Amino acid sequence: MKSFDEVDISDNLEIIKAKKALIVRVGGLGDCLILTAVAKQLHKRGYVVDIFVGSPTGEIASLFIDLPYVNQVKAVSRLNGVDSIKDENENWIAVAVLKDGYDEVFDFKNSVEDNRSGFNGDKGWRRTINSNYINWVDLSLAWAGIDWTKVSNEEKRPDITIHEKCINWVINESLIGNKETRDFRVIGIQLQASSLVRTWYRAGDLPEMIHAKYPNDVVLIFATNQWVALSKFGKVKLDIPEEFNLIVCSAALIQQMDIFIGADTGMTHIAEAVETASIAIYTTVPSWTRTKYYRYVHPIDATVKCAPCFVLDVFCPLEREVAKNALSERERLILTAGDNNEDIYKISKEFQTVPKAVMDEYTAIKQKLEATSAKMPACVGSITSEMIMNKLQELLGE
Amino acid sequence: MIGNKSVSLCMVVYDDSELVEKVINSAASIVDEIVIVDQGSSEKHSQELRKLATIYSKTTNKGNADYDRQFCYALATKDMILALDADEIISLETIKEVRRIVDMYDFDIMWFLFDNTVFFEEKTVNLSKLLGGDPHPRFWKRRIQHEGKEVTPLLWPHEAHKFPEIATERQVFLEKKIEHHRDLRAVIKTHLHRGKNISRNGIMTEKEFIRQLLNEFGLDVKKKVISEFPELSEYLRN
Repeated sequence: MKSFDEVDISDNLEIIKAKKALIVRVGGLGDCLILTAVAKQLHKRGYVVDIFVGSPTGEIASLFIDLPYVNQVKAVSRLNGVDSIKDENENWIAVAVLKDGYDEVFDFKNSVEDNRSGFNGDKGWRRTINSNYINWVDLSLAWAGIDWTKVSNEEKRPDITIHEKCINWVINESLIGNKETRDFRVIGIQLQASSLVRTWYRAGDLPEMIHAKYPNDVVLIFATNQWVALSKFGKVKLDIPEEFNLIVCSAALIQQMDIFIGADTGMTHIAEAVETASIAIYTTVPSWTRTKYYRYVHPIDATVKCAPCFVLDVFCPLEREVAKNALSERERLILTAGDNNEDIYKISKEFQTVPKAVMDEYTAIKQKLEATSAKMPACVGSITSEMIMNKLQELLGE
Repeated sequence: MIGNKSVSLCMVVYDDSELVEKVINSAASIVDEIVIVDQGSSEKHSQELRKLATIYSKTTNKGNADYDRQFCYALATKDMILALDADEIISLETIKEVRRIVDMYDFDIMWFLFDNTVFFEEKTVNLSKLLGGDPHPRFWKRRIQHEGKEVTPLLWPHEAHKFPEIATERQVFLEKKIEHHRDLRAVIKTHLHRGKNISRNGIMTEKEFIRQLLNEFGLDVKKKVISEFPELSEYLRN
């Protein structure tokens, strides 16, 4: 008879291998954050979940790294239009190749983001319900084959992890400190969204207004990739150490804010994830499509007749039309010829000039069109500083 | 062979049989078949090229390899195509990395970075400032299944300076480089005798490239080159 130590117990065990699931998303910070709800549900259903995530906002993979229901997180970059991941030898491998290693792949490339009319042809969700008509977390769950009506509201909220060194820096080394122990309040503002129609243009006056009303508190403003603090001691830029990830540090700062004021943008979702009260401004899409299940957000929706128009493009479609109509006949002809890639020599002959001049003119017209389209849309204008100040006062209890 | 896949080395060449031999030697450890499309080389070079090739076809000189690229790749019979020009060398280090990737992933197309240099007598200019990493697809499956049909993953256009149509996302972008070492005289000669398979906008881009390249070499070389190729002044002026 064999002794106990000699028995190979693996002979008597049925090894059950968990299925591997991959969630892929390249998009805005918020687009990626909402997928933590999907990852959580897949994990509950017995999947080992990896996330491949990328965003033009910056390196956001770090926000997901230590989530308890996520196995592995990798940052996606787009090379020659191909979403790819860097391997250990610095080569880039297409996500399409890496998908082979998974039992299930949930690729959100053609879902929430591509709900613009005509943008997605007949692929993905183009011909189905999209996030303009259903809350986008519900939609994301549905895309993964999960019945969203069976998922609790709490579990539909976004999750992030913040590296301890960033938390320590905010609490111990930045002037913000710990919100539990400090004797002033911090009000954060980030009103720039990835598209102009979702950016609140009047943000310029707001910090001063808040500062004038609450002079003993600190107003923390995020613009052009940096945080600036406005307080009774003046204006000072927060020097985030170079080795820290700006987005993760921003999340750590938002965590220590008393109130965060944001647009329809990723940081508003971060505020929800770190349980900081927020005032969120929604213009072209109704707030419920984004924040229906959030506990800490206090949305303000645009009140004009054309809102919500559900446009997620850079410019207001009405302003774009006005700008196009204001072009001269010559500008319109050159713009059309350039857009259609017509023979530049033929065009320059028609306009009695040289090809280089036509190229320059084409570039200038495109720039002009962009610039003259970038006017404040009516929906953005319908939300006033006073509305935000009233909401702020209500939340601060004064 | 690389992994369990056989490889056709495909080259569109004109003369330069000595250089072609060097290129073949650099890739010899992975290559099972050599396809050479000879764009009207002299008899001496043609004979040498014929000896080097497994599959050989002679066409005419069109002033540009691009006319015959897809034709050349269509002659290949192996699982994978490795496409190199007569002045491109693949190093052992790069081959080693290609092997590693082939063992790990089932990709359709592999891109390489290029280490582009141009020399004139003793002087060599590195073009990374002008061209960056200059990534190109150079290694791909001869056939893939795409939307229910068997197709080539890359379809090369006749036109110069145009990337191929790509039918697959299953791509790998290698950080290793292919060495592309060219003689300035050969570069100038090629650009002066371009075929018709280049758009007018493409010619403008090429002229700008030659201007910048000559600037990199400096005034002395520029003067020498113009004295050897008097038509160059006219070419650059227009």
